[in-house]
Amino acid sequence: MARIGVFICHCGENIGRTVDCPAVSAAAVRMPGVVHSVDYKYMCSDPGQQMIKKAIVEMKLTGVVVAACSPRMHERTFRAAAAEAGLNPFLLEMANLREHCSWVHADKAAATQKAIDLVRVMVAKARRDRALRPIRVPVEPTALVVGGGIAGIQAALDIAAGGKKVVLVERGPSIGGHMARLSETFPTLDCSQCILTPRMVEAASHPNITLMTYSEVESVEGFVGNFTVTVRHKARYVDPAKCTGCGDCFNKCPLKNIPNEFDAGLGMRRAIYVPFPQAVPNKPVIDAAHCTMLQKGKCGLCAKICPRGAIDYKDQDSLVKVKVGAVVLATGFQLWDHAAYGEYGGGRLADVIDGFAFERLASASGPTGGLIKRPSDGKEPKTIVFLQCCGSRDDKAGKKYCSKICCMYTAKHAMLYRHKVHDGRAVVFYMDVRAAGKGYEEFVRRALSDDGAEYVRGRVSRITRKQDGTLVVRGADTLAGRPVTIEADLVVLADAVVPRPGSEKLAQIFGVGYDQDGFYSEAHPKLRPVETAAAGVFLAGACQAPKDIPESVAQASASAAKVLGLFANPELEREPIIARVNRATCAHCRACISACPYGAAKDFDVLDRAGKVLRTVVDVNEGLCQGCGTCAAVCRSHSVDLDGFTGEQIHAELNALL
Amino acid sequence: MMKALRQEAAKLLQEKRAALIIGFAEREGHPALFISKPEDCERLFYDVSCRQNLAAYLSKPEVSARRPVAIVASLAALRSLVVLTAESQAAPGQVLALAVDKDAFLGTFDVAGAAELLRSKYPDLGPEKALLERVGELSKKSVVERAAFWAEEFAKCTRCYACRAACPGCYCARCIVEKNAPQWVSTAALGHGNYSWNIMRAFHQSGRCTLCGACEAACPQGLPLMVLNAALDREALEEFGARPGYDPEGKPVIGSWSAEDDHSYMR
Repeated sequence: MARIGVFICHCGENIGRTVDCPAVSAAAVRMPGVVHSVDYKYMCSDPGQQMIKKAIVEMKLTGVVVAACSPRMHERTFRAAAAEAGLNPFLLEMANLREHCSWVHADKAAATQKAIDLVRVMVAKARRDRALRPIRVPVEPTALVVGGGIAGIQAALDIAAGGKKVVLVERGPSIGGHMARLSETFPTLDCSQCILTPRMVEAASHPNITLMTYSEVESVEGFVGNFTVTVRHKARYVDPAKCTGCGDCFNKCPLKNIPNEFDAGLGMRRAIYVPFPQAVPNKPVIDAAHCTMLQKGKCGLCAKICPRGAIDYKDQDSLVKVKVGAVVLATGFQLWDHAAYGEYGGGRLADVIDGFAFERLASASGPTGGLIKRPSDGKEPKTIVFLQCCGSRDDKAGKKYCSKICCMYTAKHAMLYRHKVHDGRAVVFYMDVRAAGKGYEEFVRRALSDDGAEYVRGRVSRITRKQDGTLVVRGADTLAGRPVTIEADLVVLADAVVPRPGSEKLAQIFGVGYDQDGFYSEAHPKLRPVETAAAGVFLAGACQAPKDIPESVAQASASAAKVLGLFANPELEREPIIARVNRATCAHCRACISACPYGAAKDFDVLDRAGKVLRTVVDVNEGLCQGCGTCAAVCRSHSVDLDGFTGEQIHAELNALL
Repeated sequence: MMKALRQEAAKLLQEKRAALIIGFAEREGHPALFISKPEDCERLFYDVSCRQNLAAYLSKPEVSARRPVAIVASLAALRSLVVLTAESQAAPGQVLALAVDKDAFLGTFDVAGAAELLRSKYPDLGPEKALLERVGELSKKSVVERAAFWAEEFAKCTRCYACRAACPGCYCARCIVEKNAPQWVSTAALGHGNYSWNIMRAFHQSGRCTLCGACEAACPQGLPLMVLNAALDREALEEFGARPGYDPEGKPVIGSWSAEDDHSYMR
């Protein structure tokens, strides 16, 4: 005989505002099988949990329904409480009165009736719950880090320092990411390369880290603790084992005029190249799209020159499978393409550049050796206009959100320019200056007072180019309330921060959610900011939202801590929501075996005591089954059921609504 | 033709290549004949009025206990044999087919041989023209008209399950219609239960049905079951390129997938 207890949570005002919780409680206690019902302000709080535990013991409850928020939020909490009181945690169900009811309705009477219905449904399910035992699966203590920028490097180093193996996969030929492209970093103006490159070398030489550059994640199988990831090693056409990085090949390659992506197109590279001199690994790759040997079968100079015979024009992409227990996604960002803004030249004006281009101009290792020269004619600009919020905070043509880092790097750019060109004018157009961070406000103040940057509050409506190459910037000074026109030699746009291309595909591969802009979704915006909805997959850096370096590094270390926590146990407990085959009625048609995406359904011989095969049926491997229910759907005789979501339970839930 | 069939069957029994022959009797209705002695093979009969699909017996425990078994098999029954092998219901090497087509005896085949014969000589078996025309006519009607047509037809069903018993594809140890916790399909021979049963039966055969017509022949109420079967057969062929009964290692249309499947509906 079922003895169900129902616990209705007000969730502060969240549920209580729209749902008459005492009325739900009064209705619940009259439902078949319910012996106890109570409502409370915060059921997830300690006194709330105590109420549940006390009732389980005193009322001898055989099942519990907590009518509160989404099970994603607190099912774990309440199940743990039930377990502490001695009730099998899988005998506890949650009715979602918040996301499914109070948050989406306004009419209190109707919402209350719906809440009662939702409780009745879960009571019908709870009456048919069976005690289940968690499944224990071994954990593969190796982590995969996707993305070799500062976030990925930091996560890899921290995990490696914790004594666990790491596979660091980077799409480009070198690790380092955007940070390697920066000149100096706010708010201390220390040299980006000086603080980053030692980390890059450390990551490459760490015995626990396997570096896979020029590689991409192709597919993923498995689950937390036991992922099998297929990585595509793109053809480098240079054997890294033979190459010493001497540089003869890329100094002799006859193709000299390929815009270097690393230099934002301001510098040139060859068809065989390392993206920058401090690259890790410092071994070239051949850009197959430009190489004449690979395109037309002529040239072959680099192969002739190479003293080690490392060049292989027949190199092919190869697929490598790695077994990992956890994944850190650190795929980073790129700048929004301001070509969408026709009024700023639509990307056609050579002297209207983005932030990265300015970084490369200001960088000592950049194409100009650190001299500020404008791209069109190499002249030193005497007036530079910086535009903040280019594409950010514009939900019409650009992005709705604030890109967070632009206020700071624009102040830095203005400062760097004034340090290099003392008689130059740096004018910054801004909407607001958002400098929340340690030392950030002081930094912006310094740009204004010590370095003479001119800040104009207002937007720029138009940028045009005069015959002599001067750029005419027309905008409004909203503080003075008048239009402004500035003649500038160079304009730097602080383009919005957007996710890397392909980030949505990668999210689908890993089963990670993403928002409308393509940024990865964390499991909880406040309390689980580095986890994702996919167990064992964590986030680091700007792939989640625009972030500066310290934030990216902090999140990377947080992800590493999560990974190390996961790896601290040799085994992992998994929810036992898996398929179960009724061997008595299984006809062994094998439809489930071909349908199972995880290879969990397998032939199983039913033996007699002498070991003779009586019949062959299907059995489910507990470790592999993910509880997707595909097998239950294809079974014609309904001989497969899903524990915790049996056909009987679903049927009862539907009946409770009719 | 009959003479060749009888001689071959007797030879199989004599050479012990088969312990049991399942064929058709000559008497009215041509019921199934179970023969284990060579001399009884004289009683074997076949013509196009023999509409039962003898492959349906292969998954019965009484028959599988007497393997090796040979069945008299029309082209559709040959396809059923291939489907049953793919679904692990007919042990390869334990089942032979005495293949017949209208008034010709084609010889004895094992499953691999039967599949080869079908692929080489009969590669595109499908619904007959008259049946396809009926499907075409019905699909021209509106959804409401079609539903009304089937409601009227299904109302005649007495739930005797003769269709199920006649079908080689219906071999479940316990049919879902007989499961009661939960009872997904009402067993009363009325309205929605009849509708559910008949649609479900046809759906469970989609991509597996070999269009032998045994179900319709068995139906005492004369329901046009083959119209449903043929419609689903075309659907499986057009949408998924499925032609069941040609590959003993083939995978079912419902229950198989590949990474190349159309994913455009997902985001």
